[in-house]
Amino acid sequence: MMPITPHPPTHWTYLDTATPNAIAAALTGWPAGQGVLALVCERETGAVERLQAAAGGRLLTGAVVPGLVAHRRFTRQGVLLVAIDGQTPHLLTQMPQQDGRATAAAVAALSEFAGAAASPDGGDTLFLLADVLLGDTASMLDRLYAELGDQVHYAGACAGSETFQSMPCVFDNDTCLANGVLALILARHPGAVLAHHYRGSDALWAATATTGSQVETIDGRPALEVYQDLMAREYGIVLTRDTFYQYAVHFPFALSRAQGEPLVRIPVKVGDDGSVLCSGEVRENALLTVVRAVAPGNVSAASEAGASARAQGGASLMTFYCAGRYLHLGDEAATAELDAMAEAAAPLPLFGALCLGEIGSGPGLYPVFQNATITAVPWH
Amino acid sequence: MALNQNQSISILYDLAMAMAGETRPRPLATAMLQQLMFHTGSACGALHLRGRQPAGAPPLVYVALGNRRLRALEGQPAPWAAALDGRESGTAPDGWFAGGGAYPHALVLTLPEVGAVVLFSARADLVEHALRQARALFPPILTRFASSLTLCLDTEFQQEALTVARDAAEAANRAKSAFLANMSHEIRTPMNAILGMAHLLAQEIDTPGPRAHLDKMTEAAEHLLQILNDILDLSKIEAGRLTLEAAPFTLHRVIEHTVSLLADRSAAKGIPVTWSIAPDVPARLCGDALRLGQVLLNFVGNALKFSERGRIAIHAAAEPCEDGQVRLRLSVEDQGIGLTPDQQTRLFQPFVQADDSTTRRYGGTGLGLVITRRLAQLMGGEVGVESVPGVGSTFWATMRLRPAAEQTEGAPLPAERRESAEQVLARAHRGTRVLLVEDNPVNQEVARALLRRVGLLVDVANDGRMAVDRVRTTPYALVLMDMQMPVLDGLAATREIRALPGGDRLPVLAMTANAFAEDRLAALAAGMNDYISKPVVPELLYQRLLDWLPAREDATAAEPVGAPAGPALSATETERARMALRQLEALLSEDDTRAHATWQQHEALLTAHLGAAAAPVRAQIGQFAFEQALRGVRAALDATGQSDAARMP
Repeated sequence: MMPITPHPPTHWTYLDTATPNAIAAALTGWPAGQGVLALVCERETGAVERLQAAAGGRLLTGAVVPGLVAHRRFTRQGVLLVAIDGQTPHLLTQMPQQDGRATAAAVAALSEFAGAAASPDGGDTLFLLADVLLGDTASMLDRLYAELGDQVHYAGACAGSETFQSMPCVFDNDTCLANGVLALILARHPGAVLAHHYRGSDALWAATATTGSQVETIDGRPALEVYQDLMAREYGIVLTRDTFYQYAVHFPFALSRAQGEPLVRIPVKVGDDGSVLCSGEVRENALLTVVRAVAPGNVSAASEAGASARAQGGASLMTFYCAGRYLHLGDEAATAELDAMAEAAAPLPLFGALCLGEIGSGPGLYPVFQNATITAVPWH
Repeated sequence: MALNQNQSISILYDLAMAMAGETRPRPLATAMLQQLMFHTGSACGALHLRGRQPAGAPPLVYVALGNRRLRALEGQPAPWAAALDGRESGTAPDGWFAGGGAYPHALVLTLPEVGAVVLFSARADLVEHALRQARALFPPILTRFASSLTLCLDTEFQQEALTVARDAAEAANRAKSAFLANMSHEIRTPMNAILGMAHLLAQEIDTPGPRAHLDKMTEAAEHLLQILNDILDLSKIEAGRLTLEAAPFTLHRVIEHTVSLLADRSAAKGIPVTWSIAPDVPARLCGDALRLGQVLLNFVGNALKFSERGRIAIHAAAEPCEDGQVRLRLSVEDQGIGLTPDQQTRLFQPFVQADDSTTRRYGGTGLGLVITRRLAQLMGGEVGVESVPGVGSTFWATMRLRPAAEQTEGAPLPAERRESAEQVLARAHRGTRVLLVEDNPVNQEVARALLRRVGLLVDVANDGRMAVDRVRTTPYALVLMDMQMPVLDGLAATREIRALPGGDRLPVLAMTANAFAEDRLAALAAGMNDYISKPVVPELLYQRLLDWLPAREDATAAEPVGAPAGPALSATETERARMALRQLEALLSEDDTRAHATWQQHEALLTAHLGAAAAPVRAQIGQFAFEQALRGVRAALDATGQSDAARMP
């Protein structure tokens, strides 16, 4: 695997108010050929149009996210501008769904783009920013891998609103889409490092009916009922519809694997029929366990992610930090994780976003879609 | 690193599920290969077939994943086959296929008499790890996979269309359930307004003409509500979400209650309803009296509907079963229009009546008998009919029930009263102040009028936040709480009320258009005392109020629940608070999540005991930040020398 160091310092800017003048001033110092990856807080969606107006001839790509990471802190306002190669191959596409899954044609279009744009010899990364409401990102990743395999590494995150309301959230110079995916090919790039360090319980449950991220029944009973039983029995917690999201971030579902950390799926919403919407797909008949979130103050996952990404090279570090993890830890403990990651990655600057699902594959590893995870992406 | 039990079970389950129901060989092989790659972290892999080749011919790559050069080998001889034949793993510095130099390590999973799955990896440690799993876990599932793959390759029969049809049907069923749940709430809310207003108007209109119009409107609305309830019942039964109660009841009370419900219709048509119970029926049975009554009500209601003369006779009989239960048989005989044999075959089917002319003449959806049949089946029985056109029909239902001990006191059916609940309320609770929490202005008006009619003093809060504020400052005898409201919903508001000092003693009744069982459970779990569904039936509302309103002298003595409880906790309460803190300390120090429930259990007491220190501890426990919470608890205990840590030498 080709290391990606050395690189000149990354151009990146955090703007707490994204006025046209502020955007123009920020981009003034950037070389003419550079493009922009913009991450926009969901409170400031109006900034997308201003960015599109200000981009001029520059390549503009980006996503709307729940929050940003800049200067070792989280913020719910502003815009992050990160430089990318102005010639970066990119595709902004809608992912029409059929029966809760992206259509074969949509997945084929994505894989054909990546297959044609990425080096056939491997070593590039397919960087994906997907609307969280797509609901089938995990199986879309499997389907992409079935076509592309190891021609690319995989990195990315889910964008959109933390309230899981539909909104246009991935964009380029001209368009901002809901239910879409933004795909970039990052040349000579090692992919992403993922870590969460959540730990599991002993009980296993079969998700007997699911549609994408919606778990309708577990062991043949409404998913909420089973989750309530399990929370009461295993953790002594009386869970109601009202307190559901408050507790679910602390005790999410997970899918075990033989190798690597389990795949976390944070329950985020209860349906009237007792189904549970997760921030990530749960395949029908998958075996679920419940994991307990990492304890506040334990920064080992952040240190591991920072150090591993640092070892891959790059000029800076972009992080995608799960909004559910942030909710679980609270600002103080989550910021401590940022500090730990920044220290492990020093002297690389650290920036990024709060996100709603994390994508990654290290070199030579099968790609996964996670929740509750810290993603570290070396940046040129 | 050894696999834990969850990992082992999950791997086997995933592999088994990847095989389950798949009869097309290529998707089967692809799914299994992808699962094996997913679980072992292998970047690429292939399945080659040996057993289907002529003797001496090299095995062919059937499916390959994860690498373009590897995929190009599909249908070609597997270049690694000879070198890896009979081995569990191997290493080739230049890789095992052209262009596969990044993957020098291979793991072989043999498929008996079929071929092998070969997983390629860049890392030796991954292969070694996977090899241990393979030895320990995979042989039985791989043998099963091999035989399934052989069968699929041999037959190649196509069941894809069936699978697609099944999936579509399930998806449609799920969509229907979700739709019905939403529709239930959306229809019940305006129905509450219509029926409530009609009920109130009926008290004010005496003029015969308008009164007759109003009665017809009420009848039509109640009919519409019955159809809605039937559809919801059926959808719950079909979704397997209807659970039956098992409580002792007296059969003759159920029959009496059913007959009383239909007394007006029976009298209006001049058709008497009689009933008899055979001596072999146990006096008390254990089961779901409500649903049994629903079966009977449907039969007798139909008999009245389709009869113009004669009488209707209910008869109950029983025969013992071998397991100690009895098979109860309820029959309803009428002298109505009767049914032809052809019509009888079409009964008990959803949305079907005896024929279309029946619908035109008598109305109805045909759902009642379907629900009746499903209910009987849920109770381990059946339904049926014997009928002669022009003579009459006998509808019957059987159900298996357990006899209940004579002395067991079950939940009684509503007892006959000399006074109605409305009259008792008006007499015994006039002037009692209650709080109505409701955001819909029309429903506010309806409920307020119903409550005022029995002399209650009514304050109204538009949302949960306003309700909590009111409860803090005004002494209420009872709160009627809607669930879906802006700002703060009913569940959260109830929880806040319960957390107020003395808030655990205030009756809070849910009054909501969320009609499903889980809504009721959610209300109770949030701390509400009871549940009234919308559209509100006035007599039921009054009955619930009677059940929960405290005796008058208690109500007048009430204080705002948030009012200061007094200068300090009593000595006993203080000791209880300290005990709770010590319990919390022990749980928190063990990182035991039951600390959360323990806090909730003692929250009111601890809040009173800790004062300003309660808020941060509550927040920390809520966030499961137990280390921080432990510090707060210990600080509180240290102040009185009670901490375990403080007691350590």
